[in-house]
Amino acid sequence: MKKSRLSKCARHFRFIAAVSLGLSCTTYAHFLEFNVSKKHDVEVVRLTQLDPNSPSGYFTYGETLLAYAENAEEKALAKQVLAVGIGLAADNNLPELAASMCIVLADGEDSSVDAINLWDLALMLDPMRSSAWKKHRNQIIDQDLQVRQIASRCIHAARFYMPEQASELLKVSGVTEAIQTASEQSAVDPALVLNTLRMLIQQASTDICHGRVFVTRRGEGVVNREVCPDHARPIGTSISQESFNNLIRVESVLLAKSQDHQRSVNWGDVTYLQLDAPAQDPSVSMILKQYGIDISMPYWKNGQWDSSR
Amino acid sequence: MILQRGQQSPIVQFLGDDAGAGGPFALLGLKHEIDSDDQIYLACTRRLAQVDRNRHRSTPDADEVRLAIHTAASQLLDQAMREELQHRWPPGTPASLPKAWKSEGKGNRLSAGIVQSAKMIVAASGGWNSTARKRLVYFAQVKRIHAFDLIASLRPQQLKNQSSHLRSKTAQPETTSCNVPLVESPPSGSLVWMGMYMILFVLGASVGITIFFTSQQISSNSANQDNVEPSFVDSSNSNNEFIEHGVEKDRTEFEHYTAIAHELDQLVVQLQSDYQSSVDRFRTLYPLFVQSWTAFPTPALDRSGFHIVEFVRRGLLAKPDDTSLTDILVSNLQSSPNESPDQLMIQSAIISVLHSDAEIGFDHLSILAAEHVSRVGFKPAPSKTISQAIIPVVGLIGVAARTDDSVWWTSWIQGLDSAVSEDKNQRDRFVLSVLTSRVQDQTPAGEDWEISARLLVNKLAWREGSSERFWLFRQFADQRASTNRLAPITEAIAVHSSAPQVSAQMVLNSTATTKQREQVASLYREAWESGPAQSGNRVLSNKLANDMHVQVSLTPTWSDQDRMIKNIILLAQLNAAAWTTQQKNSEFSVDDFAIPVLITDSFTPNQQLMLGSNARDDQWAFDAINAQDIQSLSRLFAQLVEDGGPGVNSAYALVYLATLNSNSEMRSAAASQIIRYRDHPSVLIALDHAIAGKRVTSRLGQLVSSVIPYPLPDRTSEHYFIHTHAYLIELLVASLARDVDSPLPALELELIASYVIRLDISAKSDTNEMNAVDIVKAVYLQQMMRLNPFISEHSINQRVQVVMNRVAVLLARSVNPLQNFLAYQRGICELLVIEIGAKHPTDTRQLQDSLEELAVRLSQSKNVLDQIAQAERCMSQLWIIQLEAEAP
Repeated sequence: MKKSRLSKCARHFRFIAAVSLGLSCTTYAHFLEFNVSKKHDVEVVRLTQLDPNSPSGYFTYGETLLAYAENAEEKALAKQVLAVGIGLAADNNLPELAASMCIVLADGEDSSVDAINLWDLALMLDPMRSSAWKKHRNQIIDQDLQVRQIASRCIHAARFYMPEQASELLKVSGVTEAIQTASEQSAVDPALVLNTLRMLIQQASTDICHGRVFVTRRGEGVVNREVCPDHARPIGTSISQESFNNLIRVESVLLAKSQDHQRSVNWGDVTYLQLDAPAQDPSVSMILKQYGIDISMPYWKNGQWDSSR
Repeated sequence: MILQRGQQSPIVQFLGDDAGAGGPFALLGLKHEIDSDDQIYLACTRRLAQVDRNRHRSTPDADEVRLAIHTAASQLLDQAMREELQHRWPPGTPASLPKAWKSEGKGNRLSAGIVQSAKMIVAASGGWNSTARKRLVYFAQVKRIHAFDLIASLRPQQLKNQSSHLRSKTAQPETTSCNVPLVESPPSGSLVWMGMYMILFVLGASVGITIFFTSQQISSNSANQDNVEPSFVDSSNSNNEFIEHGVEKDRTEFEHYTAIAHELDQLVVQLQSDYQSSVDRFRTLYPLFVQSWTAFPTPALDRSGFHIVEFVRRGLLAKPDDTSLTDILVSNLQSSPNESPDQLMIQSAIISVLHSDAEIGFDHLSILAAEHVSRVGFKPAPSKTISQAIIPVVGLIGVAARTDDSVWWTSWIQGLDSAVSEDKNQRDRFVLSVLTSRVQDQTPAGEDWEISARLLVNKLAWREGSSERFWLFRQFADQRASTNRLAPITEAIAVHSSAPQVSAQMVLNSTATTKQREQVASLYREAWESGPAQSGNRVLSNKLANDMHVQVSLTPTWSDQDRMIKNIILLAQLNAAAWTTQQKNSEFSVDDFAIPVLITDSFTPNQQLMLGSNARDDQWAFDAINAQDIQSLSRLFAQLVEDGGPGVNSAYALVYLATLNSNSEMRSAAASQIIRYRDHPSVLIALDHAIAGKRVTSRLGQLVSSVIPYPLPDRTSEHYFIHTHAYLIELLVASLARDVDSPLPALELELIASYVIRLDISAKSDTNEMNAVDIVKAVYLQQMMRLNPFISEHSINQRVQVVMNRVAVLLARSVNPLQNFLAYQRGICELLVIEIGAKHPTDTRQLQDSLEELAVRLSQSKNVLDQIAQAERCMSQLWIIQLEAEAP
């Protein structure tokens, strides 16, 4: 009797607990929804209040927005706010402020190339950032170097009939981008390089020798080694002379050493590597172009940048 | 006063009773016995001093007494006159009036002619002053008349009467005054007076009628014109009260710029009290200012510009939502005639100055900027003053112009003259930029261009050493310059300008071929390069500066590789020569650098790497890898020599033999072949394959180390593969690059030769093993050391820091040795600017211009070689500035 009463109480308790839990969840969900909605409203209000006559407002708000960005869309908007701020600060002859915004933007930038450009511009705008520039730039390059080395290994594996390894490495995050960037630097079409890689991987996938140069041939008591007849091309080369040169150029850029080492490079190699593109200084216009910003449209209105409030 | 003192003569009043009787002797206080003229002078001075001490010294009476003293002195200085006077006033005679005071005597009678002459004397002396008085005394003496009568005849009637009365009282004159009246009084009551009054009445009536009818007409015009040109009464300032009708014709006072300037001054004040009428007034005044700004001197222009900007600024701040002021600026910009670029210039400058004001709302500025872009073609650049803002505007409008209209260019020149009247160099630069722009226009030129070309050409002096001469050389060499358009310029120079050393034969035909163009260019070069003879170091630096000018002019922004390399070498050599000249180093001369010699290796490409499957290669690999003894291997190695090196599979076989063969003799033989062909791509590929294995044996490690000339990580290290692979790729690139014909190694050698010269002797000893980048770095560091004397100045120290940072960024961004070289070149340029600027502060503008031009040219370059040429060109420009600044 007592047991049944207890079990009844327990059932009631479970029921009450379940109901309470449900109510709590619903309330919390509503609360979250309210907060998100409120936050969104606050963001829009603050965005529309940004004043081009006060570029520091773009800095403060852009930095906050970037720090609390929860998705790619918010992050992109935060970057745009900062980019507009950089343009306005530079226009208003406020180089220190523009440099600060460049640094904030660089910290939030995923692409190492873009981050390096921003740091370089920051130093050009404000010479006092020298030590910070050196430290952070080297950090970015060190992080980038690992990706570039993996990309180089990928090309190496593809050339030397190691399709599994090449395929795996090509899937590593940032490798494709690193190959594309290196291709652009050496004036080679990135799509061409990636296509060549894929063809090499595909070609090697059917290789029964697993990349061995010589195979053993046995017959009449004599064991001889011979060049594997199944290989369509010598191992380590490519499908054509041109594609081979392209791959070597890209690998060379990927493995580019320090400045001291670069100085020792023969000038004749530059012609072969097609590295004669003009040197480009980091500039505000370059940053604006990168983020698709038109500085004559500094107002946020109806979800886009506009020329008037 | 005179009448009150009337009982006494002025002489007695000022000099005492004794002076009043006894003629000139008494007047001067002298006895009859006069030993020398000095006594007379002394007495004269003493009496004058006595007059000066009197409290009535500033009265006309005092002047008369002074005159009498002078007269007396001059009479006594004349020996004959003195004797006569001694007879007339013997010592002890009762007092009598001096002769000069008598109204008549033996002297001549005053005639109208004498009075007229006296008036002329007074006029010629600048009025009634001491000079006039002295002259009149002498004049009276010459004419033998009484000076006082003469003076009295010149005085106004009332004073004359008083004077006569005074004299009659004092001297008891015998007769009436003989004064000659200036205007004879008409007889009273005569008909003449009536006639004169009638004439005056008629004149007055006609003036009254005219005023009445004119005001009626003005009222009716005002009513008809309604609000287009509204009646405006400036109530706040009575000086400005007028009724506005027909801006240009009725406001004749605006014919002078000061009238507009004055009203603009007033407008800013009026804005506070009466916004609307001030804005209305501004609507009228602003177009007038725009039309006539070229008449304003620079300070007045700045002042009026400042007032306009201040007026607009205050207006926009007072009523941010009111767009009437913006509308006035915009509508005026829109309505400016196309053929009047000078009007666009001033409006653009005003908008630019407005853009520098942080308080003006972005909305207003963006409207102005948008209109500015659509009308002028570029965005306004914020500036502080009108005179600063208008300078770039003039240049940009001129360069962007695509017209040959001579009216347009006349207006542009007018604007140019007003905007840059104080800076001739700037004016010349703009004219040359405009000529460049027009000459490169490929549309056919008409008669209008001939006139415009003359206008522009005549704005330049074409003197020896002037930039316009080098500009012309460059145009002849530049293929972008249209012959059709260049021809009228040569005609303008040769026929219509004051350019020296030119003749009518130096006119280019508009259909001339390239060869004919070169011939005309050489004519100009011959005529202009033969200057007057000079001596010593001056000749050297002059010739060098001229050569540099020519080379700077001839270096294009971009060109084909061979031409650019030639330009780089020439400029580098000239810069080296400039350095040695500046160092007063007699070891080198300009001629040592005059002929550029490009070291060109005869190109012999390596045997192409056989990448495809090759039966001979496969067979060689099979034979080698299965060889049983060293002899058979030796035969195979001999075959490699014949083939020019191993194929890819042969190289694999060699690596296999060198690392895995059980016979040590065969291993070492194979290793020696690998070392022999270590630069061959096949060997490098084979080694790259070998190190990718799971385990690198000690034999393989040694083999690789013997091929790669750099220290490698331990073969067991996890970094071994990637580092070794990177080196092998680098060697592979170097090997493959040998198959590519490149002029860059030769260029590097030339640059090394030119830059080594610029190093100090102490630094030169260590340059044998250095490449071009090492040497340019040494020159850069040396240039930095040269700034040590100036580094104590905070601003220079800061600028050096900026340069160092910039170079650090450029080096960090560079991806090849050429970009490294360029980074140091740019650093040298910036350090040179600091050094020359510190030595010659007056050239700072020119130095900055050179750097700005470098930045523009770098951004337009198509490859890194173009950029190296631009940096070397900039260095030449800086050396030219230095050489010319230091020329005696």
